[in-house]
Amino acid sequence: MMRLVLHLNPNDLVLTPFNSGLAYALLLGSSKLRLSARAGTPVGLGVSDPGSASVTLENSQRQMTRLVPRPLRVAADIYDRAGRLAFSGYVSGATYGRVVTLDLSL
Amino acid sequence: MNLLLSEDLPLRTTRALGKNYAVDQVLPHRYGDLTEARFALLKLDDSRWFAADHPTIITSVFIDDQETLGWSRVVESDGAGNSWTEVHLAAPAPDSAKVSACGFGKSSVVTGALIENPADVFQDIMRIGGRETSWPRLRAECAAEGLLVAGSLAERVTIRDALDDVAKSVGAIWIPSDATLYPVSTVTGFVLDLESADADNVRVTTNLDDTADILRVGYGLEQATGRPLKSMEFTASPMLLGGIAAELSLPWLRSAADAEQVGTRLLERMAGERYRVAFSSRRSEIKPGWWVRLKNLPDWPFDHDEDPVVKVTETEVDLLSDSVEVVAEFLRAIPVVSVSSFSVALPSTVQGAVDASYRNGVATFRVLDPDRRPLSGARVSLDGGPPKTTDAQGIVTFVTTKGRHTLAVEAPGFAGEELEVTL
Repeated sequence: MMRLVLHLNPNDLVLTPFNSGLAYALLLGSSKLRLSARAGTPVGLGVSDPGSASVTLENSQRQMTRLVPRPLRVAADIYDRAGRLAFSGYVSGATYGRVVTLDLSL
Repeated sequence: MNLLLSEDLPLRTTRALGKNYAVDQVLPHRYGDLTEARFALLKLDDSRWFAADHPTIITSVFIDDQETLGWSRVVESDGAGNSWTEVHLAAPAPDSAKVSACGFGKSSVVTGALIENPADVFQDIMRIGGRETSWPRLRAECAAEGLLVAGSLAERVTIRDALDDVAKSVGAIWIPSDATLYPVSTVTGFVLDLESADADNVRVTTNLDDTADILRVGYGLEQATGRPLKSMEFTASPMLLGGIAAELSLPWLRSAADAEQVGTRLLERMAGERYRVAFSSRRSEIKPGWWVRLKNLPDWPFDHDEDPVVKVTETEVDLLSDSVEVVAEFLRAIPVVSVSSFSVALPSTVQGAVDASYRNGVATFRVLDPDRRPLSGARVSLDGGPPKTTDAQGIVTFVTTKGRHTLAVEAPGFAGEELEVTL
């Protein structure tokens, strides 16, 4: 099962897929998770950002804005459906509405 | 604080020392053996000069290029757990004087060993950035190759760029969870085997990005001036690209052996046949840095006896479909790379350089002045033999064997110097 873990202080918040029936079932989806090896040089390799992803979360009842009022710089891990850690980064941006989008960077 | 890799490394500045200095300067961190690479000290007052934002060893101090013996090393600390190294001069330096020093960099607080394995420097940079990360694969690879780095973090720089600078100096690629030397002539370690059913839509492309037949690398950076003191030129054989030359600075490398090893690897990648291999896979655990063997691919475009092994450089995982788009590099027909010439800087008392090349049993040396103009009339001897005088091009030749030699150079107006050279 896909999960998003936000490492809040003092406790982690584990967000599960929307309508899963589990606690904090607010996770609507995820962008593609991009990782790129960097080298600095030669120029043909490793000149882009090392990685990024974004996740969308249900917020029609302002659940996310109450749970995570200040998400910036919060450490975040995305686990794939097999339970493997697929991406580990930090919240670098957020967009608010009926859906909250968290941008993750390394 | 959780800093992103794109944010500045939180190096302390002179403001942290609690006084109002005229210019707020970054307090540098030093790494590795800098006993032959002078670094500039920051002026705190006429007698107190800042060396490093950690305890360290100073071996010599210079005032305007002249070594002075009137100094002492003082390790200061505050109540917040910070310790730093100052140099106190016995007599105040003149107002306009530049003070520099040689010494060693930071040591591990755990082992006491000098931090000079590139992976350990990576780890320390991340630690300054507030992250605990380690790169065991890179550490083991660099230890096996004997690769050491030395340098300074002495200006505002992002965490990412600081890591890049070290990575490019040793020919490494990295992501936050892994780093590895690349390219390498032989595939070592774990290789993921992918059957054709796990590698769909394979696309193989190539272009002229980042290609060259000749590579000149600068290394042995003098910290105080930011100038590479040494250079080495590599040539690929055969030249597949018409003799295109590229230049690269490897600022964290100090030894000729390391420069030769890294330069050879880099030109093997730049001069060889190199292909970008993109494919889709259900193996979403694939990460940049992995070796992947593409087995039994029906559409692989090249004749081959063995299944191709590619180095993954980019991944894009789709969690909804449990699939990954992979970009990798495939190198084939790697050329033979050899050192075609090198330049060693004379010590700072001379500030010139000697370019050396070796071909068919003849060593050619070109003596240059500080502005890199040919220096005629210099007397050059090899291994204590009879001296020869450089011509108008600054050139002198000797019939000799490959290997290590002692080169003595005397030039009008310059102090005589002896250099160890390896042909």
